[in-house]
Amino acid sequence: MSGLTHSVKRPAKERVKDWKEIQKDIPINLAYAEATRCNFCYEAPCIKGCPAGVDVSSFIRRIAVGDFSSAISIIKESNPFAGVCARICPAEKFCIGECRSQFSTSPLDIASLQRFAADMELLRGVRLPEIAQAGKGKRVACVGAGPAGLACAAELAKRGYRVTVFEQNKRPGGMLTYGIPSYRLSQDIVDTEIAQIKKMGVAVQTEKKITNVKKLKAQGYAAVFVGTGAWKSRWLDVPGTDLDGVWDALEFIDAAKFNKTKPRVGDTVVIFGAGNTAMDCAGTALRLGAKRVIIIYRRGRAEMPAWDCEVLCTFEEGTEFMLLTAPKRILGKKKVEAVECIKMKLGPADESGRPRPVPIPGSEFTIQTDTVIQALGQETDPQLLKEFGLTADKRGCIKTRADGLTSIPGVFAGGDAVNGGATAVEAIAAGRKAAEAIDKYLRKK
Amino acid sequence: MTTATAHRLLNVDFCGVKFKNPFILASAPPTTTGEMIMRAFDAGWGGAIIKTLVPEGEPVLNVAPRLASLPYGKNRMAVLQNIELTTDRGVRVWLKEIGQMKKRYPDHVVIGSIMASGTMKKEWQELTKRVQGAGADMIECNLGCPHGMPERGMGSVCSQDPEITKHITQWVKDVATIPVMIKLTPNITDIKVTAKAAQAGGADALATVNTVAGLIGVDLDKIEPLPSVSGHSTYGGLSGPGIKPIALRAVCEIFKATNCAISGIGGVGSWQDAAEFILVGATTVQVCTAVMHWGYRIINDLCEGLVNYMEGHKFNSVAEMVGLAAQKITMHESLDRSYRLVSSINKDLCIGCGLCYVSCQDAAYQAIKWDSKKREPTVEEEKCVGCGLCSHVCPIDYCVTMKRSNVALKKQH
Repeated sequence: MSGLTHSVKRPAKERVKDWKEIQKDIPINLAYAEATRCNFCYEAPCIKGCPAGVDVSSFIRRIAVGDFSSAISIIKESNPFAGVCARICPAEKFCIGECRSQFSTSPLDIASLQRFAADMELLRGVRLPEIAQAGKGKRVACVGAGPAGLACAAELAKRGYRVTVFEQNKRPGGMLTYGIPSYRLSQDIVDTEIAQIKKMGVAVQTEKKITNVKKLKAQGYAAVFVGTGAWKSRWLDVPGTDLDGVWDALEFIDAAKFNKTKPRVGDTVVIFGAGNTAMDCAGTALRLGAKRVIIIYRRGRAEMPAWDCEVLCTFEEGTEFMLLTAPKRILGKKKVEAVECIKMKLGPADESGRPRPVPIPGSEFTIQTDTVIQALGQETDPQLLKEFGLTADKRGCIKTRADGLTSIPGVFAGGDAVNGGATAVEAIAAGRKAAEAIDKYLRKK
Repeated sequence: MTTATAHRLLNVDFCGVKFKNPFILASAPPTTTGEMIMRAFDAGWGGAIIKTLVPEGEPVLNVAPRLASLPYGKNRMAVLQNIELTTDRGVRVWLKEIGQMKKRYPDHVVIGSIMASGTMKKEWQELTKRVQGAGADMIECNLGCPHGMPERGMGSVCSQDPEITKHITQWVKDVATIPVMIKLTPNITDIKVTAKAAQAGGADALATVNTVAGLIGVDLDKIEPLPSVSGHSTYGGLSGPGIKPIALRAVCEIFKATNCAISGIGGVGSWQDAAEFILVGATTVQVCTAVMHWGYRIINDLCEGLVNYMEGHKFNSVAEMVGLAAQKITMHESLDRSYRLVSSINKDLCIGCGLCYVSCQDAAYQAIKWDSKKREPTVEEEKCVGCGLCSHVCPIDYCVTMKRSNVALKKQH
């Protein structure tokens, strides 16, 4: 969710009662009004602001002139996840942040315009891109059906390759499916856009774990793309984490989204961490019936890693923020009963450049709670890299060249597995970039 | 400010008829009935021209829809097309209503609009006598309606022929005891010719423009011209903001070519529009489309805005303003060739959109340089011919302006 100067959020009191999307549909008159504000800049900076290189200025102009099918085609030329990114992209950091209208009135709500274009396509029927004939016959494998792998696959399919995507989970989509609650991104949108990629000729095999990349090459795949993401949750090792009622954030979101019996959270939920996933856990807990949701974060508001719009949404829905507070231990016999916390103050900057939180001695206090969720972020699983035999960088991510080539010839990588965890649009951009490199590599071969 | 509609500065004398203010409702849908006109008078309109009367026995059968609009940008009715005919209410009904209006609103001007063909001397004269007998203050002869009526020899075909214009004017003037205004069509090569003909026939005033003949659009799904009446359409009359420049020119031309008082019509929606019409020669202005869009209540902003403007410019009357800009229209040949202008970009206001650069590259003289990194346009004065395109495409007010320059223009090869 982004700017939302026009597309309106549903009132917090209403939206916490269901799992439908927070953002309302964009009516055609508002889309027109917004699109006609576009200056159609020369060398449009919004395009450079988009990691996937979407020709923003052109698609907005198509909306302004009432040619909605061209608008979505332009977006999909660079991004097969148009509807997804319209909903979850922090566009202020990208295209919207570059919009020149910010210097006169206000920047265009590009995310909402993209959402409008994607929604119109769903209403009016999907037009698939033309499939190139070059390179036909050559097979490519993508490991991981997240945004990076699927974007890579879609781009390769467009270029005429036969692509198979292997996914260890039951459902494709990666973090889009398992890491984002449906009130932020309807699963229908994810499923629809993946179905479109499949229609382009991409095969997706789920519940198929790949451990050996070289074996894939032996099976006849001329090149491999590794887009396995960053799934290993960081875990705050305080006493009591083994108690019933302590959840890992991703498992919690997954269970709330897909389990037949939804997690029972009780009246109070305490969340450790203040990133986007923590915000998502807070919204999910409220929708599961929690009466009181508390986010505990050891630093201050300015240091919170979640995007502003996410924090605002969470705040509107009634989540409490206990900042400058760190959990010391989780209390309980068999089940979580309380969390003991300690107040913090900010000291000089640490290696991350943010002020280091320092405990205030004697400031301990206890919060009664029924559930604790650990939402401290995720990182690349070093074990996976070892299995693949790929060289890692200092942070434990896959080491690649700029074009995505790994330490193994013919094996490329991109997305969270390489950058350590960033936005969907950056993963999509990396997947497409790798597809280009794979195409080049296979043409030379 | 509630009395602005009767402000002393706005009082006008138009062919001897006194108006509280120069704003008249044109003969059109806002004057469909006497009851409506009286509500307009309550709102503050200076005068109103009734929907045009045709001789009794002439059928007036309207269609649906009879309107279609061309939206542009935020304006839902940048141009409006109508194919509505003259009044479909009886002559007798109207005569009664004219009497009622004058009885209840003696200080407001009621103008009877009449129409017949170029051969119907008797009908023209009868309508004239009946309308003035009912108490109307003026008569407007509708020689300008471009749709429907011309098929029967009425409306715009009359003021497309100077001979017909002249003899109709004479017929009406022969029996009229009140001032006669001739409403002219702009759908003619040279409106000066018909304006002079009307003057020769004895017209007291001229009203222009009637609607501009047009075809507003085509329904691309149904492949039908608009407005589509069950699949078919007919050419119509255009009004609204889009036709204002055509109307200004017509008013200016007849102001310079005749001695008649002028009622300016065509796209008046704001006090600025009204002031422009007055400055090119109109003494009163007629309004229709803007009222169709926003209602009678706009009379308040029209009057207040015009009063404020007049006070700002120290005008003591509308009469003082009439035609001041028209005098400054000259031959192209007479324009000052030594007046050298160049584009000037205010870098503090510039948002770096690059539109001035693109337009100068693709439609002018390549006199603007573009710094891709800084997103900054710079004018090369020796290449700039001062056409002004960049100042019009710039989305920011006052960012690109034209300034005087001593830098000589380098000849391009």
